[in-house]
Amino acid sequence: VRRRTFLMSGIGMLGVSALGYGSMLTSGALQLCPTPGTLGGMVDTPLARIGDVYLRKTASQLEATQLREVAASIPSHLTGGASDGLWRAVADLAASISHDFEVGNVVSCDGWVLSRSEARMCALIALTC
Amino acid sequence: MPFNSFRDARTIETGAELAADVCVTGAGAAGITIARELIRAGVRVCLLEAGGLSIDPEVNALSIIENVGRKYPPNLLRLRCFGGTTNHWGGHCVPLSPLDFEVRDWVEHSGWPYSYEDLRPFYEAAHEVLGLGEFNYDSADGAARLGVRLLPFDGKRIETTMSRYNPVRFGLAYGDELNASRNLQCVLYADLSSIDLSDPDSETVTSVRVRSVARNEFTVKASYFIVACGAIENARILLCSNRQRPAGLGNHSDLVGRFFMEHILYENAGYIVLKEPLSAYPHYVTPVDFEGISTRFHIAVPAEEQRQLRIPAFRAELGAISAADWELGVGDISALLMRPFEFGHALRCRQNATPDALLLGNCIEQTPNPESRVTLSDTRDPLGRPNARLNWRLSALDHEGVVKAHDLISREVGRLGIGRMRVVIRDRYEIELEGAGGAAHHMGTTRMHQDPNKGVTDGHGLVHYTRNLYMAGSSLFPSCGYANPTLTIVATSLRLADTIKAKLRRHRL
Repeated sequence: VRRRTFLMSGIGMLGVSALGYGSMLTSGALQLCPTPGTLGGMVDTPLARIGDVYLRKTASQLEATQLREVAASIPSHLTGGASDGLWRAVADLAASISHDFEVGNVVSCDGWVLSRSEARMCALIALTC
Repeated sequence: MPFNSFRDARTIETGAELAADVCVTGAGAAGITIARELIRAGVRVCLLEAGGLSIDPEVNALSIIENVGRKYPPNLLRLRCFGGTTNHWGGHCVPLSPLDFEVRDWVEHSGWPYSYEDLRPFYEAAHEVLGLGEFNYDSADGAARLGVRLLPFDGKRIETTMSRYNPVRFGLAYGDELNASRNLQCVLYADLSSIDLSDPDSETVTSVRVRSVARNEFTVKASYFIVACGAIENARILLCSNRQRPAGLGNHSDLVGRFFMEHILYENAGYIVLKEPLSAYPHYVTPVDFEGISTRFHIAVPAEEQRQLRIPAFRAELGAISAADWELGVGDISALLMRPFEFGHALRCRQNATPDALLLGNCIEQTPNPESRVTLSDTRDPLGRPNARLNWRLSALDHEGVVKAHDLISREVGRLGIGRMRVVIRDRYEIELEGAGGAAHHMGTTRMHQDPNKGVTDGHGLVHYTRNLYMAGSSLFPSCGYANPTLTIVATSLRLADTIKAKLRRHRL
């Protein structure tokens, strides 16, 4: 139950958001990039690095495991493209970020002071690179 | 010499005796301010300046110190010449805050012997001396009148402050006035070597002995003596005046030279990536003209939040940096904030990276620390006097203030949707503060306190256990806030001038 709740309420939403970004990258909507296709090109980016720092230093073992599970589930959903659900999820993410800052649920990763939601998103990016 | 009434100490005969009502030593912001006030009141003033009208390397070498503490330039950016360090200051003016005058239970040795409200009339008068226009530091009012927007901090946790800038060169600005005064003797190249009491048990100073690089020596007699040579030299002069009181004048409690403070310049510890283009806030990055006065906006931790966090005063001046100068993460984070649906594009193409970020250049209060001190060295200057030995030290609280303030700003930047901030501060303060420098603001070495066991001088700058010896300038500051000191130096000097004038009036009656 605990795992399900976690996935549904938090990371699940973040996963959808990450999926959304990933979908956009692969949907052809952004054709300006010379070598689009996968998130592999982001492997050395700071966001992935932030996420990696979060996974190694901040996230609990349980949370890291759950993030890995979510990340592992992403590829099978990548074909959907941007949907109403995706946009809702992104809006929810923005609200979640805002709430995190309001209540002080912030973390420092690689020096960046981010809401925990943002850090988790970065972690998903790191895991899907 | 363009100021033809000024005398040159090198040509004064050894054994000569000059006389005045008041002898002011040091012709910088404090000394010139006091001298002007007194001569306008008809007081006969002898103004002694250790240097000439321009920098003379032989004279400036007398400012060399022995440094045994943190890294510091060997002459500490002091200038032995007419006008003092106003010859190279940046003109940054802002008053101390009311909280800076209070006893703060989280800052040991804090508290001035008077309040902000007591000093406020002198701040207003100091504005005239410094050509700063209206005494108004209300950033919201300033922004409204300028028609600019402030960063959307809520003012409770982080506030925008406003500073005014006018680098008045006191020697150039007021030299003609002093030169024309009939009741002023200004003597250049006159290096005060000791202060003499009438006898060892007396509390009355009768004369000061003056030397020059020509090796001649003469005395100046007066009813009142004011020493305004900067915080290093003020302490050195009191300690060197040890023929009658072996520990030095005012040093009955071993406090002369202690509590040396600087404003901690602490840069590159954090930068903010804004959601909005930096071009919306140019008034934070460079001075703007505000009713004829150069003005710039900064961010600071307000008084209430200082109380909550129990930290010293903290201000950050913001500088524009180019993302290109930093790692690409600045642009990536910026892109994420500004165009979340395209952040992946930004990450891979590096094309959305904005060149705009705000670097925090901090000017932070150093808390009073008795171990941070000026003493006398075993080495001597060319005139045979012991050099000053400086042991500048910072404390764990200083570091804690830096850490907490950065943490606060970064959270507020996120909470208010201003952007995101990256903070790079190490945990161990002795390592982290290694890179922190000073702002060449020397303060605290003859601190004011009504209790002779806790201060060198009383609330008017009178050296305890003397009747007529005053110190002037930032050496009086018991604590220093984050405010650049010159405006407060001028304000406290005007206050001291009023004190002397009142004493002379009573004396004459």
